[in-house]
This record gives sequence, structure tokens and C-alpha cells, in this order.
Amino acid sequence: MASDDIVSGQTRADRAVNGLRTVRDQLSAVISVHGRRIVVGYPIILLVLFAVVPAGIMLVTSFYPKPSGEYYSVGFTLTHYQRIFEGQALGYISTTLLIAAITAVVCLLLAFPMAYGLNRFYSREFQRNYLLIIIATMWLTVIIRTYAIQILYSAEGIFNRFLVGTGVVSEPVLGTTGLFTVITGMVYGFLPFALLTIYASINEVDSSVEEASLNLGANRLQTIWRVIIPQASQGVLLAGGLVFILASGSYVVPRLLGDPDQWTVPVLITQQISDQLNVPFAAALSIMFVVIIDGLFLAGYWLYKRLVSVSTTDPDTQSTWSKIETIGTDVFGAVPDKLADRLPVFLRVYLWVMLALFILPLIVVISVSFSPSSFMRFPPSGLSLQWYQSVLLSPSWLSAIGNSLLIATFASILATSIGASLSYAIDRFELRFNSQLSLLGVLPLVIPPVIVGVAHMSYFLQLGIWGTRTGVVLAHGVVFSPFAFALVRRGLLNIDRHLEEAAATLGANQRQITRTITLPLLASSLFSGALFSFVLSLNEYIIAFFLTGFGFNTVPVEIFASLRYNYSPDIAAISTLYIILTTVVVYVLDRRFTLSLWD
Amino acid sequence: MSSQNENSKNKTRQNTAPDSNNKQLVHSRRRVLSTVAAGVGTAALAGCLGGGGENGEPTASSPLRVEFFGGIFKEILDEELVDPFHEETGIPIESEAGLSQYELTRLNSAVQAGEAPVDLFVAQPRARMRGQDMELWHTHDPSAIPSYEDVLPELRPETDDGELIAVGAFGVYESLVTNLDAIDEPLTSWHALWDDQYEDQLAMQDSFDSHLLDITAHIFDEFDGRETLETESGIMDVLEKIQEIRSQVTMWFDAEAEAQEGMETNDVGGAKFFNDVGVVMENEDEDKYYNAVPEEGLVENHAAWVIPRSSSYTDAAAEFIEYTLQPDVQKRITENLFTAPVLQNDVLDISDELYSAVHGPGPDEAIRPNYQMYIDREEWLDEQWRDMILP
Repeated sequence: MASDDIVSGQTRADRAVNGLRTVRDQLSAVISVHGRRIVVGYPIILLVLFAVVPAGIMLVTSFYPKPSGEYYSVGFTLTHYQRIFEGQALGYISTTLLIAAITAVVCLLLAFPMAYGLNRFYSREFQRNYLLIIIATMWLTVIIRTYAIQILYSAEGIFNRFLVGTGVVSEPVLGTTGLFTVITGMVYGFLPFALLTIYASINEVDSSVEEASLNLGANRLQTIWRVIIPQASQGVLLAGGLVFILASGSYVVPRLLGDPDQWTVPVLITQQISDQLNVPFAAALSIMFVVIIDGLFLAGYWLYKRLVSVSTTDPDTQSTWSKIETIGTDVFGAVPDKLADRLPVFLRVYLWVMLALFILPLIVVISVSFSPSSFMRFPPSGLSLQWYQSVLLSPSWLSAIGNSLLIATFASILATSIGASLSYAIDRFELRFNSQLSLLGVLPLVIPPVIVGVAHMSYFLQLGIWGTRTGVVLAHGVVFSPFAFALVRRGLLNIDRHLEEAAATLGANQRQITRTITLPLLASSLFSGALFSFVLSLNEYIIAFFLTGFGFNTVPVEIFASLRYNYSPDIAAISTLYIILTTVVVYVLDRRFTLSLWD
Repeated sequence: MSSQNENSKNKTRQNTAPDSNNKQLVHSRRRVLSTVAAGVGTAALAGCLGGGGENGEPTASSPLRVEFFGGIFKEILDEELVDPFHEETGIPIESEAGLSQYELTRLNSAVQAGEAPVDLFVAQPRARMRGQDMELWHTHDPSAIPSYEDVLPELRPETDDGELIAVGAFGVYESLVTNLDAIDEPLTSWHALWDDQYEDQLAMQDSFDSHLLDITAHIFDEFDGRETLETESGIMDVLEKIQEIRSQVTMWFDAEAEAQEGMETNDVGGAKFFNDVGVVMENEDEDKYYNAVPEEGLVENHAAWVIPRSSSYTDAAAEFIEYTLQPDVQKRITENLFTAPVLQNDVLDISDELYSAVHGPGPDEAIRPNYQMYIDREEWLDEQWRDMILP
């Protein structure tokens, strides 16, 4: 009331501002005293609550009996684990590992020359624009990407028509399903992750060392072999590991682009839950699959550490490594200088070819969105805006876009805060359980998304947040936090601690050092982690399917549901709008942070 | 949560002078936490499911929600069923496209939470039977749906107490559709699936409950139809016979739209579809598509109305079901959707031509799937199907 304001001498706005200042001061007071506990406790509590506990629920559920034809009930049985070893499940597990491994290797082979060529032979401005286009392809939700690939690979698609038309083959060889199609879909989806990771690594390699190598007589290939690859090896391994994990957990690509012999464990798990209502067997499958993936990673990590250790101490191993290096050096040295010197040209052409291949599905989707027919045809027979009209007048589509963007935004903030605070705690606080905390940091990644969805479904039902956007945000935020964790971890390892020490020497306290030195140096890692989480959340289908309930949909859930009825171009229209909207967001953010972001 | 915030606020109101000792810091922390919690609570991203109204009567803001298949199905049913029902009864109603029958795990969660995603939807036999086992459906007193007696007996299952579990919505027989741009000789019989002239041309459903078991047991003389499928050894014999069609299959699909798209792009030459879908495809492009009633008979299938037991509008839902059973309504749906009516012949008034188009030789000649087998042996069947049939 005005009279009250006059008496107190403050307006409502003044009181609000003072209130906010009070909160800020109190938060600062709490943080200054308990900052360390908050930084450590915050991610641990969230990861335990929303990764470990649901995993525990799934472990318990895997022992519940499920008589044929009935729903499962509380009890104890080992029949589901028995079925894994006696039935078809082992075949699915080996197929999954094989497809994931092939995808990882292909992504590394394709991404490395892209990252190197981009980083070394183009301006920063070009690099930024190129990467933005690549990232734009990530906005294309995985479901619509797979359908774009099916359109391109269909019997009358442009590739088959080209091959048959030029006489290379007498009949179509590419198919809408099959191993090659699955690998295409996987690589198209996960190559950007490999590219960005390797690019960040190569970005940190001192170019003067490379120049020195060239000046001392090595050609470009030898320099890449002896200088670039060793220094970027951690980034390459991280990229390979990321892609392997993402590919092994993929559901949509093998389900839609694969024949049954390319179906992976996530496909089997989803089918068991949706078709058979056999949640306990699905849980047992997930537990077994996680154990195997974990086992592989631990074995790989041990092997890597052993190789590094032995190669620096054991003369025989050093000798072997040296021989491998020498062989590579000799092989690349045998390449004629004229050819080796043309590497920059080859890489420039390669980059443009890869860009064209990346853009092609985008072009397909955008073109199809203007199709006058009610089927998705490329090229379209005419131009029509009917599908845009249909989408923009559709409350369900608009609602789905809004839900997806809202959830992805908050999920990426949550994921980045969890991953960044955990990796900061591990790196700076010299905690006793660093190894265990590191495992906790990556745990959400190794659990197949489908089982995350089912585990959280029953868990959130008990908590009363099933069927809410909060539930999806929590699930996505936790599941995608390992990306921020890994990226920030690498970022922290690459920070020159002398800068922080110098700041301390000059009188800065820890908060000032963090704010003015550490965070700016971590900005690109934080942004990358947030971006990865945002994109993954935006495109994520299976967790959202189980957690949205029936009250609202995200775009991938809405698309998948509508594709059961027909392949209508309104899906292409919604995807085009999606791409434009999110590309604008990233472009604006990128401009806001200026060049330092990609640096 | 809110009472805790209130208590915290009350406590902190008593002590607001800041100083540096621990007591003050404890109070500060509580106040900060309570303030932050209130802020988070205000900004909470809670969504909520639609639930029932308080008085059991649909309202404009909380209408009766009915779900069926999407696409052309929904368009036609909105026009021929939903809108006329509203005009005639005044009951607020809203239709949705959905597949709740395939989402029983999620539906179970919703029902447990006391929520009803929709008030009634259509479920095919296996989904209806499983929902029954899971006690998901509201059962009606038959007096709520007087016309139920006109429904074909097999389409109005009852509890032991005589309550209606579900009521037939429409019949969806299965037929064979040929893509004449890819195949010269159209498929006109189930036996044709075994013909190697169709090598790498056909699309088949990837699930064991695609009724291929029933078709095979019915059409080959070495089997005795449903009897053969009562034993595991019989089922194994039938599976071995089905193995012979594997070389004809180029696509294993889950949703019909995948196979339809495959036909559009000429990656697929023929498939088993719901007859109504086949009729529509043929009507839209008879130069490209040929829909055949197989010589050995159509496969009988149907969808029935079920009401989740958590629905608050069970009376209104029953009234809707009663409306759908009026002969003129059934006729309208049949004429426009080409689905089979669920009423007995003596109350129906449809032409012989339409009857033939939707029923083929008639329900007595149809292949009737053994749905109970699919439920009783689902785990074993799933393993055998993946081992013996899927590549």
C-alpha cells in the first residue's frame, strides 16, 4: 500500500532488491565457510540419489519373478540371469560391442583429419562457422536423422540412382536397413562428439613444435605421426571412449536402421519392457551389460596405464614402441614429398566433402518439409508450406518444442554443475576417494538409457515426480553429467597452475582466483559440457518416453509416436524449425562469448 | 516442504542480527536454505497429468478423453463418431491419437498413481488380456451398456461375476498388400509368402505375435490349426515351417508405417497389413497397390474399448461405448474406415459389397489367432522366435 511505502521509506522494488542482496550475502557467507563441502557434497548427493539408487532398484528388480503372461512381483529368482546365458541375449551383447567398436574406430579415423585440417589450415572464423554447422546437424533429432538416411539409402534414393545410373552397379546396393546403414547412422550421430573432442585436443598442441618438426626435415605425415598424435592421444582416446559408450547405449539407430541381426542390447531391453512387460529380465540384461562395459573400460584403462608405465621403464617395451614409431616414420617418410606437401590440399577437399555429407541429411529434411505430398519424398515434387502451417497451428507440436527446450536448458545446467563441481573437487581437494569419485562421475554414462528410464519411472513414482518436467530434467541432468565431468576434468588438467599461484602470490583469495583465473580458463570446457548435455537432452527419446508419462511430450517422443502411423512431412517441418531455433541460440551464445569459447 | 519453510522462516524472524559466531551461522544457513528452497519451489518445473474431475461428470475444461489410432483413423472417427456423439449427448469430449495399448508398463504406473491418461481407448486382444491380468480396467455393469448384447459374443469378454471387461470397437482383419511397382505377380494367398519368386521382397512384423504362427498352422495340411499351437512341440514344428519364408523377407518391421514407407520407396514389394489400411492404400493408388483377401481367409483381429480403472468418467465412457454400438454409427464407421463392424449381422444394415470388402468371406472363414497362447508362452516364444526366425 502506498502509505506503508511512505512510512517505511522504501518502495516494493527497494525491498525486493534488498531481499536479493541479503540472499546473496548469506549465500556468500555459507559458501565461504562451507564451500568445499558444498562443492563435494552437491554432485555426490545428486549422483547417489539419481544414479546409484535407481541402479540399485534395477539390481533388486532383476531378481523379481515374472511368470509368463503375468506382471512381475516382489520375490527372488535367478531365472533371468540364467536366461541371459542360455538364450539369445549374449548374441545381442556381442553385436552391441562390435557395432560400438566399429563406430568408434570409424569416427576416430574420420574425425582426426577433420580436426587437424580445420585447426591448422583455416582461420579461427572459418573454424567457428564450420563447427557451428556440424553442431547444427546435432540438433537434428536422431529419429529424423535416421529417416533422412533411409530416404537417401532407399532403392530410389539419390545414392542408389547415382550408382545404378553411372553403371557402377546393376541394381541398388544400399538398403534402408543393414549393417552399413546402421554404421552410417551411428557415425553421423556421434562423429561431431569425436570431432569436437579431438579438435579441442589438437588446439592445445603447440604449433611451434610442429613447425620445428617440419623445419628439421620431417614431412607433414611424419609430423602428425610423431608430434601431433602423441600429444593429442588423450583427447583421441577420450573421443573413442565417448563414442563407444554413446553407440553402445543407442536405441533408435539400430532399431530403425538395423535388421534384427544388428539389434543391440538397448533394443532388446526396450522390447522386453514394452512388448513382454518383462522388466526384471530387462533389468538383469542391463546389469550384465553394465558389468561387461565397465569391465572392458577397466581392462582398457589398466592396459593403457600399464603400457604407459612399461613403455617408460622397460627397455624392451621402449624398444618395441620405438620400433613402431620408427616403422610409422619410415612409412610416412616414403611418401613422395610432392604428395606429402599436398596434404593441406587433400585435407581442405576432405573437409568440404565431409561438410557436404553432413549437410546432406539436413538438406533432405528441409526439402521434404516443403513437399506437397503427404509422404516424405526427396527431392520433393513441388513446394508447399502446408506442413509448417500444420505444425505452427498444432498445440501438441508447439508444446513439445517448448518442453524439449525447457528441459534441455535446465538439464544442461544441472549436468554441467554436477560434472564440473565433481571434477573440480577431485582435481583440487586431494580427497581420499578420488578413484571412487571418478567412477561415480562416469557411472551414469554406462547405464543404458532405456534402463535409466525404467529405473527412474518406478523411483519417481514413489517420489511423486513421475510424469513431470522436473523428473525428466533430473534424469537427463544426471545421465549427461559425465560429459561435463570428463571435459572439465581435462580442462582442469590443462590449466597452468602457475597462473593461479601467481594470482595467490599477488594477494587474490581462492574465490577471486576461481572467478578471475580458473573459470575463464575453463570456459570452453564448461561450454562444451553444457552444449553436449543440451544437445543430448534435446534429442533423447527413450528416457523421456518412460518419464514424461502421458501428461506431456518432448519432440523426440512426439515424432516417434507420430511415425507409427505414417511418415508425414510435418515431422520434417518440425525438425527444420527445431534446427533454426537452436542454431540461432548457439550462434548468439557463441557471439556472446566471442572467440575465446572455441579457444 | 511448505510447513518446514514456514517453521524455518518463523525461527529466523526471531533472530535477524548478523554476527560471526556459529549460532548465527547456523541460523543464517537455515534462512538461506529456506529462502532458496522457497525460490526453487516457486520455480519448480512440475507438470501434472490430466486427472478426473471431482464430480465424475466431464466438463468443458476436463472433457471425456478418448484415444484411438492416429492418422486417417482419428480424422475419420472425429468426424463420424466423436463430433456426432457430442452433438447428440452434449457431453464434452476430446479425442487423442495414441497407443496406450502398447504402453502398459507406463499405463500401469499412471494407474498406480491414480491418474488416467485417457478415459477410454482401444486395445487389441493381447493388450486387453494383459491389462486384465494387471487389473488395469474398469469393469461395467452390463446395464450401463444395454446394446452390448448386439455385439458379437467373442468381442464382449466378461468377468466371472458377469461384468463387462471390454466391448468391441471395430474389427481389423489382416490381409495382403502388393506393391505392383516392385512385384508383377500380386500376393493372393498366405501360401504365396513361401514362394521364392518373392525373394527379398516382403516385409514382415518382427514380433512373435504377428499371427504368422496362426496363419501357418491354419493353411498347411500337416498342422491342425489352433490344436497344433497348444503344445510346445507343435509350435516348434510350425516355427520350422515359418523359417522357410525368411529368404523372402527384406524388412522386419514394428510399426506398419515402416512397411508402408518401404512400399512407397519400392524397397518392399508386399506385406501383411490391416485390411482397412490395405483398402485405403488401394483406393488412393490402385495402379500401385493391390489389396487381396487371401484365398485361405483373412486373419481375424479386433480392437475393444477399455477404460482404465483410475478414470473418473466411467459413466460417461460407458455412454460413449453405448453410442458406438448403434447400428447406424457402426455402419458409418465401416463405410469410412473399412473396419469390420462388431455387431451381429441381424442388427446391421450394410450392403453385401461393403460386407465383403471388410469381412472377406466372413468371420466364420477367418483365421482366429490363439491369443492365450501368446500370453501363456510369451517368454519361451520370444526366445524361439529370435533364435529361429529373426536373422
